[in-house]
Formats: sequence, structure tokens, C-alpha cells
Amino acid sequence: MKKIVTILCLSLIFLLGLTGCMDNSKLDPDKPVTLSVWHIYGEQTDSPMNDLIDEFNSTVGEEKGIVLKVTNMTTTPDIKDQLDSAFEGAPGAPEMPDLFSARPDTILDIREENLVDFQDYFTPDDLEEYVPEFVKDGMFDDHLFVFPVSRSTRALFINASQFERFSKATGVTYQDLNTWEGFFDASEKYYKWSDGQAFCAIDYPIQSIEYDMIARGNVPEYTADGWYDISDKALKKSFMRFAKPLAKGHIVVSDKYANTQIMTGEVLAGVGSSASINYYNDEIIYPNNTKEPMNLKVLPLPKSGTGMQYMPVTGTGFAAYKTTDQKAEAAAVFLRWLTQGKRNLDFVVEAGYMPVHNSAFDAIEDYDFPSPAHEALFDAIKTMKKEYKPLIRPEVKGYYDKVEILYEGLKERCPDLKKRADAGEDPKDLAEELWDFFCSLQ
Amino acid sequence: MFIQGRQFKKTMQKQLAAYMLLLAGLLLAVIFAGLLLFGRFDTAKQTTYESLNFQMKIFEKEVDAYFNSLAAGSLDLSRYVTDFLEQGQNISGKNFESLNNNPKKLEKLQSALIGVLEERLKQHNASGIFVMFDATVNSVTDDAKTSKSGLYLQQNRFLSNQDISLYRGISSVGKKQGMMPHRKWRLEFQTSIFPDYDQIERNAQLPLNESYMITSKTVLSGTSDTEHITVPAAMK
Repeated sequence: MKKIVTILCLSLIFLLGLTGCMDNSKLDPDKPVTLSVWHIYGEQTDSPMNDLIDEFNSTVGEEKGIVLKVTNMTTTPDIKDQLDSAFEGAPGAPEMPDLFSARPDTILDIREENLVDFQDYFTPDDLEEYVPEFVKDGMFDDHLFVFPVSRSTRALFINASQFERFSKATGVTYQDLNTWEGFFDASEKYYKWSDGQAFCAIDYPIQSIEYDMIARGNVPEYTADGWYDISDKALKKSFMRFAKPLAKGHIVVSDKYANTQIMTGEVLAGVGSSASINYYNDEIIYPNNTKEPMNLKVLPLPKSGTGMQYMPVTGTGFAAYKTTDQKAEAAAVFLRWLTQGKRNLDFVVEAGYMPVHNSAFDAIEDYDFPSPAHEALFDAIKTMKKEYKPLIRPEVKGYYDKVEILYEGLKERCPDLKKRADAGEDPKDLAEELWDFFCSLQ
Repeated sequence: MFIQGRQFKKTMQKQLAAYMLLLAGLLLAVIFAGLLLFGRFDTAKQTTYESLNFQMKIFEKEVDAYFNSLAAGSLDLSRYVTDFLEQGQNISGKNFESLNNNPKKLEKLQSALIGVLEERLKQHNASGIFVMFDATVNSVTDDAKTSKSGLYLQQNRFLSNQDISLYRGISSVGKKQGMMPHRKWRLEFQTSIFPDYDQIERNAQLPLNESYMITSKTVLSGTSDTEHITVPAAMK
């Protein structure tokens, strides 16, 4: 009898132990949960993210009971305002999405109690498989609110068809564009050769100025208002390096993204995000409707001085709006699936980003790229990864609002300054006017 | 006797039971008929089928109404542009050829029309809107015969603050209106963008409300966007 009781007790303990191992997932394939998604991958393109979402829905999603529905495709600059409107419940604003593309600054106004901490779903061992800087970038205090999916950097994109003619006529080579000094020299030569056309359109020029300053051994300081400490002499020096060619019209601030100015033949080159690769047209079309192939060439960013060079790392991850545990778990399942090795690499190559999973980064070397332009881009990224140090600039509240004012102001002022420079005014004085405007934003 | 009396009693009981059964049967038949009459025995499948069928009819009506409204908007735009060209710009018939190789005039026309197109695009909740002129900015390019100047504004159908891009047209005109060139932007149309363009051109005649057509489903060149394009056929 005693034996039987002992066996029964042991069996009971074993069964109780088993219940601890049972799946306590909130997901149920018979009652699927739907997540609305806002993302920034391919506003005008055949979105690789949408293709992946379709694949997820028909495989893992179906198996686990998760349906992802894209309700907004937008751009990085726009998504913050759209999210803020949705979060505040502004009149006419759509509902907050369950899962959305986010930079760390995107979620500054969405309080932390409203966001999913992905550490609840990814163990420290899981997170060790991701590039540590990218994970760190999404941390707020001890919470992982922005999960890394892809990261971008910036590069120099060139219309090679036109550059070859320019090079033949002036002797300027791609090698000359290795440094900002060579780049500005080339832009002056192009301006003369093309009878007054700008050489390059620059997306985010203030960040090029900031990275120039850092590469020359200085650290930018920010004020409480979210702007630069304008008393910093090193800041002014770096600013003036870019302000002079801007005032002379040798380079311009991009209308929005440099690719549009390259494809219309307005400029020869553009400095922009690696992710813009998918937005480059296959042809350059000039105002008289003559066309030529783009032959897009991609080079690493020009270097500043001779010291350590820094590679800008930007780009968005995904954040999840906290509603139910079921939705939070579903979001984590999707993000884990999305960032797995080869899938992560396929996605980022197509979208023009850098991978976030260590195994995907290692596999770049032997990857079969979809186009020569993609291959050139990843060659440039590879060079920068080897010779430059990745650097994520700090997020400062209010900064991007001022940056937008800066760019609009520069675009408004520069055409007039160019005319005055052409008329013989001292470019240094004109650049000082731009510096005064920069300082006025404080 | 006693036995006979018990047998008689049994026969009565049997008869009563039979009547009761008959009555119960009748009652059940009435209830069943009533339930049938009020549709209580319809299967869930049948109900779903009817409900979906009803929804489909409503949806069909909505789609019809949507395309009719697009067609009406398209005809109205066509009349507006014709009046604008003939009365406002003194361009009509053979005079249309004066637009060929005339970049300044084409830019002026596009600048004047882009705001109207934007407004109408928003009004009609369409994915795009276009105006195509029978003229080209450069009549000596290889594809000049099929190249036509004009404007095509494309709307991102998802939410976005800056949701209209310039798919075809002069880029500076679009930028001034706050529309960036689409990544597959071209300066001019290729007539192949319209399925069966030759036939449309051959059949072009007035009145517009009889000759307009909605093209078959087509994918916009360089994009994954599938569109039905409403063409007011009397374009000249």
C-alpha cells in the first residue's frame, strides 16, 4: 500500500513539474490576434517589409495566431508627428498602431508605461546575438523599448555617367572624393565646368558638420533647448567648412532627399542614407527629355582630417504600443522571426540597411547582391566599417525641430547668396551670414 | 366475462394511445412547419452565404458608384482643361502643335494646372490623376512619337502627411507645389502607360460621357501599384 501511495505521490509531483514546462503563451491559432503596423520601409517602393509581413502571416503567423496588417507606410521624418497625433487622439488622427518603426527620439513623447519592454520577451542570451551598439541604442534606462531591426549609415552617391565626362574634362577622380577637402575642390571645379550647377545635394548637412567636428577631435555640446553650444570655436570651424561651398552654390541642401535631384540632372552627386539606394531611378532625365543610364556609383563618406573617422549610424527599429499581453507577445514573435540570420540579411540588403544580427553581419562577405549599385553600397559600408568607427549621435529633445528650421532657412537663403557670390561678394562674409542664422536658432 | 372485460379495456387504451400519438404528430408537424416558415432550420452555412451575398451586392454597388464618380470627375476635369487651353491659353486644334519643343510654354501650362489636379485628386479619393498633352518638349528624341508632356500626380494610399508625389511632369513644377518626384519619375508620359492606347486614340470622339472608358487593370511602370485608369477618350 505504502508503495502505491509513494508512486502516486511521485507521479503527482512529476505532473505538477510538467505543468511548469507547459507553454504559457497567450497566443491562440484559433483566435488570431491582429497587430496594426506602421513602418518606413518603402513608401514608394515595392516594400521588402510588406513582402516579409505577407510571408510571416502565411507561415509563423498562421501557426501561432498572429496577423500583421500594415496600415501606414511613411517616412522617418514624418512618423513621429503622426504617432504623436495618434497618441494624443488629435481630431482626425488614426488609432495608435500596435507595432511601429521608431528611432529613440520618436518615442520621447509616448510615455514609457505605454511601451512594451522587449526584455520581457528576449533573454540576455538572446540579445547577445545582436550587435551590442544597436541594442544599446534602443535602451531607455533599463528598458528595451526600440528593438533593432536594421541600421543605416550614410554614403556618397554619384551619377557615374556624368561623372566620367566631368572627370575626363577636369582630371578629377573618385580618389579625390576621399576627403572633404578634395570633395569641396571637386565641387568648385564642377561648378565651373557645368556652368553654375551644384556638384552635390546633401541630406542632413548639419550631421556632416557634426561628424567633421568629432573626427577632428572635438565633442559637440548641446544646450537645454536642444541646440548646439554656439560658443564652441571648433563647431564654427566645421560649420564654415561647409558654409562656404553652400554659399557659393557648389553644394546644396537636398530638397528632401538627394536622389530626386540626381535623377533630374540638377546635381551630380548626393550624400544620403544608405537606405536611399532603393529610391534611385534607373535613368537620369534632363530637362530636354534626353536620358542616360544612372550607373550609380557609391563611395564611403569623405574623411575629415587625418585622425579617427566616424561612421554615422542611424535608422529605426520597432517599438510596440502596450495594450494586451497577447499583442506584446505577438510583436516579439514577429521581431524575433524578422531578425533571424539570413532573413535579416536578405531584408537589409534589399532595403539598403545594415543588419543587426551578428550572424547576418558576418555573412555579408559572400552575399549575392541584387544589383551592381547594391554591391557598390555594401562595398562602401564594408570599407567604412573597417576604417571608420560606428557612432550613434545622442538624441537631444527638441533638436530635430530646430534642424528642420535650419534646413528650410538654408534652402531659402542659399540661392540668393549664390547670386551674390557670383557677383563677386566675399564667400567668407556670405558664410558668416549662414553662421549668424545658425546661431539664431538657439 | 372478466377476461372479456379486460380485453375490451385494453383495446380502448390502445385506441386512446393511437389518438394521442396522432395528436402529438400533428402538433409536431405544425411546429415544424412554423419553424420552417420562419427559417429556424436554415443552416449556419446558408445564413453566412446569404449574408455574404448581400454584402457582395452592396460592395458591387459601392464599387460601381466609386467608378462612376471617378468617371464623372475625369470628364469634368477634361472639360475644365479643354476650356482652360482653348479660352485661357488660346490653344486648340492645329495650334496644339505650338506646344511642341516649347519648354517654357509647357512649364507654364503645368504650373497653372498642378494646383487644380491636386485639389481634384483629394476630392475624388483616387490613387492618381493626370493630364496629358499631345505634345513633347523634344521632338527629336528616339521615343518622341510616343512621348507626351503632362502631369501625373500619384497619391500614397496609406496615411502620410506628404502623400502626393510627381510621377510624371516637370520636376521643378512639382517641387514648387510641395510634391517630390516619384522614384520612378519621368519627365513625360510614354503612351504605353495606357493599355490599348491606339484604340483609345482611334475611338476618340465627342460626347465625352459616351466615349470615356476605364482601362483594364494595369501596373504603373516601375511600381507595384495596380490601377484602373479612367480615360476621357476625346482627348483632342
